[in-house]
Amino acid sequence: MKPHKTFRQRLLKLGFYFVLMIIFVYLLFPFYWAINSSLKTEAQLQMTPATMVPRNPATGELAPTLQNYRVVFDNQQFVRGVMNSTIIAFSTTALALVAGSFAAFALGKLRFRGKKPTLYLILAMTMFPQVTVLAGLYAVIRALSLPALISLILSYMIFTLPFTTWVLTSFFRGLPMALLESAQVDGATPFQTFYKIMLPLTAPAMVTTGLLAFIAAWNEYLFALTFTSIEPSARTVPVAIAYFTGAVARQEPFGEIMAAAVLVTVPIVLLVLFFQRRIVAGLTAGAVKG
Amino acid sequence: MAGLKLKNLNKIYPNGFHAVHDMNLDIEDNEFVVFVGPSGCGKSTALRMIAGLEEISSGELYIGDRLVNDVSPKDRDIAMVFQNYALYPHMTNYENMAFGLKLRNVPKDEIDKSVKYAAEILGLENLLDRKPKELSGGQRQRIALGRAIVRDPRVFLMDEPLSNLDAKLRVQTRAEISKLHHKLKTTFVYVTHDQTEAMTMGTRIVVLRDGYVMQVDTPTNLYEHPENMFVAGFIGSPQMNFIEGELNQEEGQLFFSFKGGKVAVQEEKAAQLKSLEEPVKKVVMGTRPEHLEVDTIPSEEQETPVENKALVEVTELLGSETYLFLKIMEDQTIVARVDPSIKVSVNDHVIIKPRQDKMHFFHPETEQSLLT
Repeated sequence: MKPHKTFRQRLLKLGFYFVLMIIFVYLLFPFYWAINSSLKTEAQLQMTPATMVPRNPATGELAPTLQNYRVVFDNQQFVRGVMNSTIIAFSTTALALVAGSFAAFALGKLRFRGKKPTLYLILAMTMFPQVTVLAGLYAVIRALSLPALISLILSYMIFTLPFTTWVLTSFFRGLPMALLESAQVDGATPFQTFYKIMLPLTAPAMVTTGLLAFIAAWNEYLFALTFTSIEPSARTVPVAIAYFTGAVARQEPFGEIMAAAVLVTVPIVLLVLFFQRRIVAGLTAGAVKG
Repeated sequence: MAGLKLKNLNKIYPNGFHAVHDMNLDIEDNEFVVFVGPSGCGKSTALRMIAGLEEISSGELYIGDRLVNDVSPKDRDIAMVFQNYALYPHMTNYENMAFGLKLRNVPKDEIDKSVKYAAEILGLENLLDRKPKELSGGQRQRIALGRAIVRDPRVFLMDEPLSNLDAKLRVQTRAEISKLHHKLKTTFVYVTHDQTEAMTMGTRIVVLRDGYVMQVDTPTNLYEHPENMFVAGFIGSPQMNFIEGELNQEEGQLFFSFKGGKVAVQEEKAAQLKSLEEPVKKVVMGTRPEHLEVDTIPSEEQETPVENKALVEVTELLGSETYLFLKIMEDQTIVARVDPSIKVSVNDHVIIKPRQDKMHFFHPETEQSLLT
């Protein structure tokens, strides 16, 4: 006989799913609304009350349109922005991971003077609000007359590198010292030890931190807006979207902006899905037991 | 295959801790040398200096005829087995074993042959495709041994390889490592804190304490002729009994007397004690539990005062033998290992008779043996 569930247990279960649903809606509704809006024409967007799905204003029939997507893809600014963002986000991630893992290896596994202060300095760097360094950075970039793309990559590293280093350090620290020594005795050079033993073992952490660095660089707006102000060709995709203009003056092309937003989110979603298993491993497995 | 030579080896850590003091040791080719001592005695540090994982503060280290002080571990031609196995978790067992050879660019078919050979010796053939985490502790340690064998090193170094295994497996693997040594005919240096492991495996044992070498000898000699009280107490289980007392001469016969009794000293030992350059009166007598014979006293004579009387405090029945914890003085209890057929119970009085030929005498201050 199945154990009889008490009323209390049923109620708790119901409450659990209710809360789950609220969270679900709270998190996903904005994204749903973006998709919904992106499939509407200008006229459908003006309908009151707003419809949950695109409908024909006259007949009320389901009438989604891909018009907005077509316009976005034809927009040279947008395409250019995607390219710029891709270059910047990938470069930032790659550089942050390479430099970050080197630094983390040293901080996590080697003995040297001033290790603690270095670690706290790195942590302190992640705490600066972006706005505080914005003006100063702009002046530096102008003074060095750096191209906007490069200056964006470098300034994103100010935030991603300490974060990557900090997270990876704790991972490297968790690896048993005997593994390194074993590799050393087996005949590996320090660099071979690093990329044949340490790197594969920290892969989950690399993927997780890399992904977060990528998302941060991909979505960043403030620096991108400021540093590309005199070099519009270097605009990243969030800035490019902000500069979308409507067919007539002062018109906000809401549908197109939503379509662009959806398109920009897709690569991130794909990346996360692709690396899903690794991310979970990275978040849970701190240490490797020999 | 090569011998090792340690010449005045010292290790001083940056914080001033002197872990190894002037260690001198000649290890012959094919020897199985065990470093043994309580934790913190410097045995692991000494091994790690041989491996090159720890810098040598001063002194010279030779592997074969080559001075290797400044040679990196990978060029010392050594293999090491670690306490926690230190297998690479992302590689299969095969890859783990092949790693060292791969780094040396050994041709693939040769690597394959070596790995298969080592796997066969250790009975690991059907585990090669798995990953370390799928194996039990004992199997993992065998893979770690295999990884060392595959390298065909000149010296095998082992740092407490059995201490992570459970008791039964430890005994099994102990025998396996001994067999391995016979088969491979290579120099082994083995570190352990367990005197049983040291006694059963080593051809020679180095007993260390606080960074100093206390004695280097074969297991038999360590057991029979310990040079000092530390070695005497460390080797053998249960520990050797130490009784403080003094030497007295009565009618040409030398006696060792202590509170509550006296024992005649064997002639040969007496001669040595008498001919000491600096004669001593106060000494510490050592007798192992297995060399302490016990006579029962009939129940009607229990209260009669006699020499060498002791009170049974605890009896431990182990089946094959019985340990008696005997109170001989106010504040001293000694252990005797006796035949389980002996009929004694707690609070009985017995008479102790240390075997004369197995008595040891130590200087009470220097703790050095007074016999040679």
